[in-house]
Formats: sequence, structure tokens, C-alpha cells
Amino acid sequence: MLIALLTIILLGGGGSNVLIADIQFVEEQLKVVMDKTDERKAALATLNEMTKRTKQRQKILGKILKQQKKLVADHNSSPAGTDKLWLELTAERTEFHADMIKLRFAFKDQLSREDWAEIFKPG
Amino acid sequence: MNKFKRSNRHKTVAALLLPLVTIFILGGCSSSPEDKPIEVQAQSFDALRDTATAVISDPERANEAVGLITQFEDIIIKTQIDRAEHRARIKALNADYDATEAEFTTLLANINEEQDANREIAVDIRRNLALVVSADEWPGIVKALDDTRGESFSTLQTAN
Repeated sequence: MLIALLTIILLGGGGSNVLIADIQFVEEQLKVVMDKTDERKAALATLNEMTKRTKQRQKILGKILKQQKKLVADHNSSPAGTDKLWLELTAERTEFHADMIKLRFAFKDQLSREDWAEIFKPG
Repeated sequence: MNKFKRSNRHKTVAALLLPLVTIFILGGCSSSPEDKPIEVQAQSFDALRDTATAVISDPERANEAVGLITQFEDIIIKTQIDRAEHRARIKALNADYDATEAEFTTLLANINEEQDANREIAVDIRRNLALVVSADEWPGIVKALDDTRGESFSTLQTAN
């Protein structure tokens, strides 16, 4: 079984490609576990929102990476530059976590206890 | 021949520096440290130490740089261990259908705090490294970093 979806999501960040692959995996699991109903459609839509939010984060982190590259390249880069990057990163991380927690609970509310256990069973 | 070897050494530094710094800039979430076996990483750090010794002209400064690289290695290993533990904690909470939002918020706050502490240490090491490596030596390393940037980003993506 795949590592729990939120395990990676909530660690956030640059592992976005794998994260997106994990969301796709959960989508596949969902299609196996749930019948083709409106409830399943709604749950899939929530997963799609997670994917979109993750891609948005990819873009933001890409910009931060560019700034980081400049800092690394500058032998005399000041602590202020790093601090500024830090603040941007922390703010983005906070926002991303909040969004993903919200989506996680929206997703949970769309699944029964049994379906949840089946999708996120250890192994 | 020597020029070729020197170039390769620069590339080794570059290939390591970018992902490693990124680990901390992105909160240990870019290049998943736990995805790389520690023993493989140790070999990479050995190569990095060799490179520093070769590239930095003054033996005393080279020694200092080697010490800083070892500190860097230590914090990378600590981050690997922390991340594995963080993932396990989140995985366990996520699997719990009855987990509350407050529990997630608290857990993430604790994890962020631990990640940030590691990151602060890494940034301090990087700053100290810049003090040890001269301004003249630094561009050579950065140039190699640019040369291998694509490869490094590719490594980052696949390592995740």
C-alpha cells in the first residue's frame, strides 16, 4: 500500500511530483473501493483540488528555488536575503498546510470509515 | 587531464550542494533525504571533502572546510532520521479516521519547528563555509553548480 497520502502532502514541498503520483494512486484506489456514484465523483473532485493546489505550490517553490540559487551563487549574500526567503517559505508552507488540511478533512467527510480504512490501510 | 579531474570535482561539489541546500530551504521536503541510503551519502560526502581539499589552496582553510562539510553531513543525517519519524507520525495520524484538525495543526507545528531548527543549523554552516572559501574560489564552485544545475534538479525530482 502506498504511503498515506497526507504523509507526503503535509510534509509539503518539492516532492510534488511524487505527491501528485500518490494522489493519482489514491484516485485509483478510490475507484476500486467506491462504486461509481455521485459521492465518488465528489471525492474525486476533492483529490483533483489537492492536485491543483500541489501544482500551484510547485510553481511557488520554483520561484523560491531561483532566489535560493542566487543566494548560493553570491559569496557575500547577506543574512537578510536568507531571512527574507525564509519568511516567504514559511508563509507559503503555512498556507499550503492549511489548504491541504482543509482538503484532507473534506475528503474524509466524503468517505465512509470503512472506505477510508481500506484506502489508507498499512502495508 | 588534471583540468578534467578538477572540473569533475567541481561538478561533484555542485551536484551535492544544490540538492543539499535545497533540502533545508524547502524544509527537508525537496530531495527526500531518506530516499538516499546513508552509506551512499557518506561516499558522496567523502568525495566532497576530497574536493574541498583539492580546490582550496590554503591547507588550513581546506581543513576548516572539511570540518564544516562533516557538520553538514551530520545535519543531513539528522534530517533524514527526523523526516522518517515525521512521516511515520503523520501517516499514523492520517490513517486515523477520527483524527481532529487540531491534532494535525499541533503535529505540523511541532514538525515545522524541528525542521526549521535543522535548517538554521545548515544555513549557519553554509555561511561559515562561505567565510572559509575565498571569494576567488567561490565563483569556480558556483560555475560548476550552474553547469550541473539541470542534472541536480533532475536528481531532485527523481529522488522525491
